[in-house]
Amino acid sequence: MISVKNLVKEFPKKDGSVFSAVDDISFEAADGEIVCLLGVNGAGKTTTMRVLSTVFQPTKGTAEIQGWDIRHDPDKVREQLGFLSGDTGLYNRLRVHEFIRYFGRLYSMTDADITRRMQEMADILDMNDFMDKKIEFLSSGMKQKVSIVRSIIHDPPVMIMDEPTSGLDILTARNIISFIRSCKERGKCVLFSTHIMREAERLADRIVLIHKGKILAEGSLDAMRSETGQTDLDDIFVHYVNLYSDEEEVQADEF
Amino acid sequence: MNFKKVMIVFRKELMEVFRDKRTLFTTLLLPVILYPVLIVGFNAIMARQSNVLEEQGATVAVCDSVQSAESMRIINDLTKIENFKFIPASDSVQSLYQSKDIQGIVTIRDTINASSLRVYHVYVQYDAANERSNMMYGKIAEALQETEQEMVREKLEISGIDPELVNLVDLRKRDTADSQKKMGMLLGMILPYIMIMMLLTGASVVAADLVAGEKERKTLETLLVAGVRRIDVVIGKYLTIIFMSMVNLIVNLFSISFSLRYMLAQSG
Repeated sequence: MISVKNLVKEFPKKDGSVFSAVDDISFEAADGEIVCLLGVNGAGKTTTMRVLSTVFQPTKGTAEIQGWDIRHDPDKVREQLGFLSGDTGLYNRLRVHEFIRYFGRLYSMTDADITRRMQEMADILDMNDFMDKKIEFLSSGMKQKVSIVRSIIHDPPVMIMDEPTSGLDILTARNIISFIRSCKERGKCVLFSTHIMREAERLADRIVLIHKGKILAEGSLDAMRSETGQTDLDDIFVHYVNLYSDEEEVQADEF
Repeated sequence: MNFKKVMIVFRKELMEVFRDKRTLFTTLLLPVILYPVLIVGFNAIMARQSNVLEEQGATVAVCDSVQSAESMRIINDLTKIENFKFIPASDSVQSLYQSKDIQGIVTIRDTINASSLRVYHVYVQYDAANERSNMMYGKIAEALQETEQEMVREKLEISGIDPELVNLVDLRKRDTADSQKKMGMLLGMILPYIMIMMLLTGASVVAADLVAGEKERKTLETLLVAGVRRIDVVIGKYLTIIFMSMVNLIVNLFSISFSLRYMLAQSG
């Protein structure tokens, strides 16, 4: 499971002030649950995920992945999670099986385990035709399948996916979506981010609305519907954003 | 540091490097082609060039302001130089020289020195930045030296002095170093610098590909979230760069040694 506690990530700006990409957010995602980080571009989704996957250090606050702290045990955290994003690159000069084996070995897996698991995934994702091909000759759909196997080769309990469907065609995107569902079925904790309302609606058990680095609302779609009185997720999103902007304006008026 | 993971990174990076045609070309193939072409080819061109220059010869304007038997003799000896053409100097001689129609101007004057002897001054105007003009100067200087020696010898004989008197001390050197040893000394002076340069630049293509290339192709994030410590990634990549730089150096040194050997064999 993932538990985020008062996480803050600031970046220094050129004029010396700081920009808070993630501003004191807290949420949880349990095992067997799909949680969606929903927000417009620049809301802080990617930054949150990068902090959770230990690419960035948090400025304040922390998070735990399967009980491991991202500040103190980043190595343990990385062993517990699979990370997938829409535009991760692959090593073009390697063959598919070499590429997957490389990451398996980095996760300290034995060669026998890697071979077994690779075969399993290749059967599920229908990849047996191109396991021996060099990655540079693959189509983007095939590449995305390779990325999926790479992210899950070590069978992590937590999956973090940063806009996994961005830039993909319908069929490939469907592959990803069914992959996310199968993760949940296997009891994994899944955190994925998107700015596409439809995807969030179809997949998420719980939605975390994030805007300008802050959490606007959190809960199941049904709970949000009853709270706002809207049925469409687009409208619900706009409702919360307007609420937030009003608050800001009020605060500004007070001074 | 986890040595096992360092080696995983190292092996994978090497595999990628050896599959990259661009890197293979710059680190392995280029030195193999470059040095033979540079050393052997350049030498051959130089030799050919000087042959061509000598065959071309030169046109020289002569101004004899003495007009004595001896000055005539000097000029006569000069005209024996192969492929050289001598023309009498006219008023337009400087403009001919400027337009490179002639390669030099020889002027002969004379003075009487302290021992009341007539001394001939041969002024040679030439362009040191021009290969043909340079060659002309060398040939004329050579011819003049021979003429001078002969003239001195004749004068001494007339005065009843043994011409051998001018050669009382005879310097003869016996060099025990063969051409290979001489080349060894020359290389010993320049090789350390060349090696430092090669070590620094040899694997720069690999280094750029391994670090900047990873960010450019968006694989860095994947690697950073994988189950490996950053220090292991850095050391693994560093080993790859050192390894490739050594390979590059060895190939370079072999190529240089082969080319020089070939060149020495050619020149004898």
